[in-house]
Amino acid sequence: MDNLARVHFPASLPEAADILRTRPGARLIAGGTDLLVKHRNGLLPDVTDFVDVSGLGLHEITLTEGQVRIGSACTMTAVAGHPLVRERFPALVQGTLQVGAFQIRNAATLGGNVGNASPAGDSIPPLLSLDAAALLFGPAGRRTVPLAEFFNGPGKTVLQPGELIEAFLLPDRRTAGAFLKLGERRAHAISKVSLALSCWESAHGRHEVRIALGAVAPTVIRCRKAEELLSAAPWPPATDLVAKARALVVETARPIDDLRSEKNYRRRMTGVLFGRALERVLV
Amino acid sequence: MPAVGQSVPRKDAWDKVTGKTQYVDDLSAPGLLYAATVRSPVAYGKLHGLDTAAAAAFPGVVRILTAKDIPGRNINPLVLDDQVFLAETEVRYWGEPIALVVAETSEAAYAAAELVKADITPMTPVLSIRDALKLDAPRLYKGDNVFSSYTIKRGDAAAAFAKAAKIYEREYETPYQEHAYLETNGMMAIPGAEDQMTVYGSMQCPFYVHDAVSQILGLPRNKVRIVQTATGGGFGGKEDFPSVVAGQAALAARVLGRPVKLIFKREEDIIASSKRHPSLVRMKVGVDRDGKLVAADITYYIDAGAYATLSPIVLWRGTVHALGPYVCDHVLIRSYAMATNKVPCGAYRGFGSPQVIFASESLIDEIAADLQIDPVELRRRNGLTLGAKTVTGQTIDQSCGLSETIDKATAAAEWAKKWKPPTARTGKVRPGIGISTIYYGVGLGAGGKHLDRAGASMTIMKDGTVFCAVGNTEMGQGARTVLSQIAADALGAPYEMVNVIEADTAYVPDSGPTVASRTTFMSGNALVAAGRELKGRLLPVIAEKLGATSPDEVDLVDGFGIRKSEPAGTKIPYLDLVKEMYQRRLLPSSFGWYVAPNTEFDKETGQGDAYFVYSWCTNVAEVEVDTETGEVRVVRITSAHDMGRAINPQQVEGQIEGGTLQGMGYCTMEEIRHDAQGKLLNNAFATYILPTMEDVPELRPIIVEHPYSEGPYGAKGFGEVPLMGIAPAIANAVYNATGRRIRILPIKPEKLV
Ligand SMILES: Cc1cc2nc3c(=O)[nH]c(=O)nc-3n(C[C@H](O)[C@H](O)[C@H](O)COP(=O)(O)OP(=O)(O)OC[C@H]3O[C@@H](n4cnc5c(N)ncnc54)[C@H](O)[C@@H]3O)c2cc1C
Repeated sequence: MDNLARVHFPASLPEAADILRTRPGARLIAGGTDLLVKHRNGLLPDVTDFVDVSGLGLHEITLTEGQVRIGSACTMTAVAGHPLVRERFPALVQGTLQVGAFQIRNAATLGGNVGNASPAGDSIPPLLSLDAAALLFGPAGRRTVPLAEFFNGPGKTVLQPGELIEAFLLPDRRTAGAFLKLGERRAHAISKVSLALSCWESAHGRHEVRIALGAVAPTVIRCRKAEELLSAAPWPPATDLVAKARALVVETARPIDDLRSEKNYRRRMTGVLFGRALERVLV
Repeated sequence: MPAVGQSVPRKDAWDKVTGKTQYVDDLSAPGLLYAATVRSPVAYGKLHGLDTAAAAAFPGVVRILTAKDIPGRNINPLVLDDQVFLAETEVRYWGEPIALVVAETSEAAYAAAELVKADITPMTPVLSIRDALKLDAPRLYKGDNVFSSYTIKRGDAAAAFAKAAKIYEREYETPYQEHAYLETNGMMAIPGAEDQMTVYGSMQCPFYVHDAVSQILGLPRNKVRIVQTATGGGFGGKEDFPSVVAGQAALAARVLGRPVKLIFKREEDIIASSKRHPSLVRMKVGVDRDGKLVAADITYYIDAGAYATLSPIVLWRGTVHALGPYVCDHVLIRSYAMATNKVPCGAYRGFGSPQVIFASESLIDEIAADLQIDPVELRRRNGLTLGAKTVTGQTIDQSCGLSETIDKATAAAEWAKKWKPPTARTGKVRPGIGISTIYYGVGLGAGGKHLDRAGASMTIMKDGTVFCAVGNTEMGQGARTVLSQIAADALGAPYEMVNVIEADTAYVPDSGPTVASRTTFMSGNALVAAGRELKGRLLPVIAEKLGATSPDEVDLVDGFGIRKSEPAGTKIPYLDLVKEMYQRRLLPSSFGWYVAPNTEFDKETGQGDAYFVYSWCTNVAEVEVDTETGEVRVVRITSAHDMGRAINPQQVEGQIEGGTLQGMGYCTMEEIRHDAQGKLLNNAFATYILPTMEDVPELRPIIVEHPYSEGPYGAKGFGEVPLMGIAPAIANAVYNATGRRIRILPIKPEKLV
């Protein structure tokens, strides 16, 4: 049974960090769409306190100093609907719009999706494909961690005791991109396999390409070899190059069998999704 | 205007959508206690005892109850009488109840239940039909692992196969299906003076619950009262299982002398409640050169689980429906309900027929493909028509809308334009179209005929409103509305003044279960009898007022007493008649009783009138299959149904829509998984995958009416039919799109690429 005793509503980041630091059983809560399910199922035996993020001013999406800054408490609906995001980051729009169903998207936050650190989190591959970094706030102040280095395993992150995600920082540029997922149904489906691809012009006739895979490894992973191959070659890529890149994507996946799907299917589908995502950005 | 045939709004709709309706968990009682169930952690084993010390010491715990506390008989009375309320010396499936923890709060009861330790020596469980059939399989009961079996023998199948132009042999498998009703199982038992026990709760079959509570408490029937509360869905899942829940809650209430609530969480409801039986079907069918079926040999196995519960009756329906609505003179069908160490399976919309229908309707499609005949045409050549005989030798003597459902469904779906063989389909995403034609024996049939009767009481109150009680339940299917329509017209009172209440064993004698699509027909007919009797008392009054010489010359219709020969002449308002009724001290109540038309079958050959009448249906499914990912999108389903008469067309369409979606889930996503030790793995809606609103295809329901002479206003029964044939229609459409024949449900993308 749970030992949840209280819920705190801190009004500032230092106050939140302080509660988190002094109470080892304290957990941040944002939309609660992951946490409350776990709580109800008795999966949070060590959690004594919830620390609500809604009073911390983390709901803003702004453009400053060459970066789009997305507050960690922004909901999926807010992210997907924001002009700064819509004009720049199609992969993120598509990713956030494929979380759960609209009731969930109205409550679920970007910070919660990343904080939950599931390899199947649908906003994570888009964020990785956009070179996002997490701005962390903790007892020792602020630091920035590239999101590609943020996850240590399922549910595991580099967050230190007392630390929280304040915002996500995305380089300000217009990208083309796509996020594709396969689930067991059309809504409320945890990804069996997902892929985000984003790209942007780096030089004349060249595109910088990022590819991230979800649900095929202990964390969301980047396909660096395929990215390098495509980024170095003339854009749009030639057919044989696409085939090579596709093979590299498939090789990167390290999927497993579970209730949702099968290893081999997942592996093969990374190639299919890659092909489709590339088709989408090329039209 | 008569009420029958109108889409009047549902009586319960407004309260349900505004949240006013009270379900059992919304109810309370002074001194209420809460029970939680201790469940077996192994699938099969010897139970030596329980260590309850830690649980008993948990704050708030009042008592821990085991089988030893049962004052009556520890058996849920049903067909073979084998399921225990609480395990005694052995456990037979993972999650089987072995004790109840009763506490002052639900939280304390659940927390303490986890502290009870069972001393069990595990044994090797039997976990599938194939395992149960093995010669060296553990014998779960003394004999073989067969709970029950049937044979249908007609003509000489062996000889007919020898003459067949072609013979097809295929094997099909279907998975579990969980009912996933919105409201989980729950009961509240309240002990009363003089040993009375009243149980309130979510259920389909109050009289089964009545039997069960009387039995576990060892109380006479007149001390026990069962009141159905608003029930949030059943679909068969609340046929037999609520008896167990009610028995347990009543046991605790009786021992402790306080009201006790036992409400299931979703996770334990999925673990503990009945499900659709998994099946294995071996089909062998011979045809002549024209594709006419000349011989069939079908073996049907169902995985009954740890106790027989309803399996023998489920099996009977499956056996009769195994070949589908086709003429075939030489048939051998054998069926077996196998014992395993998993949760007992029971009733689920279709009751043992969707499994065999998937097999036979897939095979008909396979035959059509092999013979290069349009699958619609093959069905027309073989379909039952008036005068033809079913596999049990029953002559279809009336109300046969099969060919009209084929005509209407295929026309609406534009079959002729859309159908072409799979080889002509190209592209990454391929369209496909598939059909199924089915029949459905209405009511309990020969397998359950001793239960097939129903009662209804009707009282005209002083203000003219009409109070009706029936023995069948409203569980979300619209029964109270449809029955009110029938009652209103039978009596001749305005529909708005008539109300049928939820079932209560204190009001009506045992009217059988609310299953087998029998409620409109059975309770409807009982209400027709009650209404006519009551009206009979008013006719002399009308005759007198209209100056007619005999009551035969007048009638009471739509709220007015009239002369039959002059329906537009002088009218006497119903309320005036009610006033007269009370002034003259006429009996304002009546009681209707209806016994189902005869059915019978021969134990050796299965021959006879299996059901008193059949409903008919044709489904056309249209899909798009992504040939790279294997994803199947169901685009449109057109279903034409002959249910005799649509008492309320909107309710009929609602049944078609809901059943179709359940059939789609069954075909494309739903399944229960167990680990190698028999533990059920996906007991939550995050892992037991059902369709959501976003998966809903375009649904086109079509009503076909071939009235049944015995039916209330011509109605048959049809609530189960919309689900039954959806899986093969979709599977056939997937074949039509891709050329891939999936014989093991569900059709997951992983199986297609
Ligand atoms: C029905 C349903 C369907 C779903 N479908 C999907 C889906 O399709 N795709 C998908 O990806 N997810 C899905 N989810 C999971 C969930 O909705 C998402 O992961 C969501 O983004 C979590 O956000 P939240 O705000 O609700 O997080 P919460 O539940 O509040 O928190 C989740 C975790 O993140 C931590 N956390 C929250 N905020 C911060 C912060 N600022 N800094 C650091 N850590 C933080 C919390 O401590 C907790 O560990 C679904 C959930 C449900 C219930």
